[in-house]
Amino acid sequence: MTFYYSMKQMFRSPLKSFLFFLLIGVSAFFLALGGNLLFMSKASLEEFEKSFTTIGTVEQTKKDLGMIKWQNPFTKQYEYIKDFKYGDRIREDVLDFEGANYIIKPRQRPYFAAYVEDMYQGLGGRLDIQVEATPLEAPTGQPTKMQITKVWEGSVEEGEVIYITDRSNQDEEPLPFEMGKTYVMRLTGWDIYQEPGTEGDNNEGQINEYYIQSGITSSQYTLDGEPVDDPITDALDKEYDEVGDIAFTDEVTEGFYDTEKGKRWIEAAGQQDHMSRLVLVQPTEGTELLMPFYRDEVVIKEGRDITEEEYKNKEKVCLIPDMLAIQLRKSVGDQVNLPLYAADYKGTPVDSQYGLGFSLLNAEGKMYPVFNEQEYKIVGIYKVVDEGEGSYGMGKKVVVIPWGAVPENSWKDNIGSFGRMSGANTSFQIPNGTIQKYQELLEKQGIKDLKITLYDKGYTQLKDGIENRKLMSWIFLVSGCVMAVMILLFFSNVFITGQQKRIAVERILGRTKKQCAGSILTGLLLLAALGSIAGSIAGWKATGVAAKKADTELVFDLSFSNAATGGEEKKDVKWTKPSVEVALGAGGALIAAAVLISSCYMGANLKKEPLELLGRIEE
Amino acid sequence: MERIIVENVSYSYQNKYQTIEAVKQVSCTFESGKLYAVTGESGSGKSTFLSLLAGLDSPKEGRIIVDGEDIAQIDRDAYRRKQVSVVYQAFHLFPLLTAWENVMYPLELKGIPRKEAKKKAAECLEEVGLSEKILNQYPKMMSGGEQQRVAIARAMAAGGRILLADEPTGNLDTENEENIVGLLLKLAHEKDYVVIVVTHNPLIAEMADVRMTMKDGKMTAAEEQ
Repeated sequence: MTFYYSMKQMFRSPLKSFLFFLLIGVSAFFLALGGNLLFMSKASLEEFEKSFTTIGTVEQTKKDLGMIKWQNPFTKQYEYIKDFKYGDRIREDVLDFEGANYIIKPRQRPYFAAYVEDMYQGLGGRLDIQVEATPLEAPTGQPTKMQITKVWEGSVEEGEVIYITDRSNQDEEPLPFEMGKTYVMRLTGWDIYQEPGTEGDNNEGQINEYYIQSGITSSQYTLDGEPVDDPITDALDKEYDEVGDIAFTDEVTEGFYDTEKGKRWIEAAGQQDHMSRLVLVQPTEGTELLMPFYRDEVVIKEGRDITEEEYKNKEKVCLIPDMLAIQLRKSVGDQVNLPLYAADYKGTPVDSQYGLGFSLLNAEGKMYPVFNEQEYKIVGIYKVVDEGEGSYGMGKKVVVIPWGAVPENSWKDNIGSFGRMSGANTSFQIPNGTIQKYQELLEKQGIKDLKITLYDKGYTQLKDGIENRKLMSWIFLVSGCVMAVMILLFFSNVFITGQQKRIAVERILGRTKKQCAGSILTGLLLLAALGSIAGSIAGWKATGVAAKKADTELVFDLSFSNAATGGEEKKDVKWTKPSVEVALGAGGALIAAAVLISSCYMGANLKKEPLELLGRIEE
Repeated sequence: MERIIVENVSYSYQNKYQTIEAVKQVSCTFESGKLYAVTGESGSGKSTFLSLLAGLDSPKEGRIIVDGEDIAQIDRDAYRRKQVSVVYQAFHLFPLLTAWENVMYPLELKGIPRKEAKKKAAECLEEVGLSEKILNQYPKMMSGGEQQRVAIARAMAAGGRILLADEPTGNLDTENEENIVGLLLKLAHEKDYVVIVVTHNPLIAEMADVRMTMKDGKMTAAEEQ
């Protein structure tokens, strides 16, 4: 009865009822659309927050550009090589300013050289050798033809004839060799010279050209980047400064190897072996701080990445490249032993993948001893899918370990090379979406000669897009709420207060207040519920369409963002789908509001006695 | 048989400016089978008195006993649903319901099944002299007399046999006025109703079995005619 009369009441004023249904539906649409867009924006932002990382690289910029003249001793042609000049070393501390809000502070990270026994690949290459040789002709200029009399290291033969050159010798002076004497030297293979008129099969007439390395000079730095004193190296450096180009060789005489210098030459002969067994180890506070990982040039093909927890706990775990895993016959879960003997703050692993760019002799003239040796559990095997650009690449045999797995500064006496901060060795992490603030603060510091490049894979633009969407969502939500309240107030007035007479008559006829409320509200709430459900579903569907449109716009936004921040990489983003629960929640909230508002109206009307509602009839 | 006993009933209410003592120390009784006409000047308290009898308000003092029960002590909604019916000058029919549905309303309210309610409503409408063609008409489509008949039929359908009427002929022409008075008399005399009519209408006052007069909230006279 209640339902019948209530609905009859509603359908007797179809225009009002339809208008009420329609407007409630529109309110529900706005609420569901706004609520869902807000939900999607928040959920997506949270998701992006987890999957995006904003990093910065730091590079000390060059102050000047010089040229080094190199000569080809055979053709007498010259080539000029760029020589960048940098100012005094700038420490990463300068970036530790207030408000920087780093997640990971800027750090100039070294990589380590590890001597891995199982890496042995043969007797050593022809490129780096240590030999004793005697001139075959009196040097009158460059090159000097010499014959090897003893092989200390490298795959060359005694008796082999070679050319010795010093291409960087600016004075073009003959090398300081005298006929009949024997010299010890470290050489690097440079080219193959074909003797005129000797072209033929079996490498006939080919003579290898070798370039003189710095031999027994040491290379050791403190943690502050200062060179450690070494009398022998200092003397050689002094001579170099005074005389100009010198050949780093020593004449081998009777008892030479009992001298201090001679002992160094013996020690230096182990370097080729170290290079053959070289594995590079890159400690980091986060895989994403390494550009090849950040740029997805490297993918983990087996196992997993090092977890945040493992980074935090400085656990002895590692990622290794697939080729190294094959070479070492290791797989995920295996242990790998890494005896570390040198740290390099200047180069990057990719620069050193074929050999370290510094002498392995320390200031005492000894080969660097192992400073840390630990077993690391392999948690992931990665593959280099893109070798990247220059120093930003990954290299071929780089093991990634958590920073702190090796006790901090335990390598202080094993720093073989030190240089300026470069984008490839110095990076940091800041919270997503704070690039602009960071840049403003950085500008205020007035730091010179540093280039900071920030990468966010388009997060900033994405976030801006989401913020706009959130604003739009709020507009929809607030409009929906205001509209809903206004509609409910208005129609409650129409359907309830406008029905005072009916309420009074029903009460006079003996209906209880509860029955009256049921009679009046049933139709109203039913229409409100139907309108809310229809509007909510429409709002939910529309959110999907709106989100798709926004995603299309995002492609443009991302490319813009990349250009602005210097990150050419774009991350594929996955938007959270519209939630039917949120839509139903919006509809439910609207129904609840309808119940609340109409009940308030009903309550107020039922408080009055029937005669009051009819207008007190007085004579 | 005395169905309603009014004992020293007083009632006052507060309007915006003052307390109005609408009914003062009224005592009287009402019997079945009689039509009572309560007359008096405007503001004499007769409509308020009728409301108290209808259980729409409670006396501030005194008591109203209906069929042996003090209506202040019982569920007044149930009292109005089962024992008493009120007819007003403005008819107060549900405008969105047909004549038939208006009469069925109190029956359905009592929980009588729709089919049965429909049958009984038809009987009540027949008794008040309304033709079948009126049954499915809405109040707006009916004359004043017809609307008042529907209102009386609705009161009859409620079945309490106490009918209170407040100026039931106030909006009617002479012909309809006479018809309605006749109908009320019929209810009292043939159906054993207690019919209490608040009126200025001299015709009703003359035709009533008992004429009561109120002045300044007091019942000043009650004459059997």
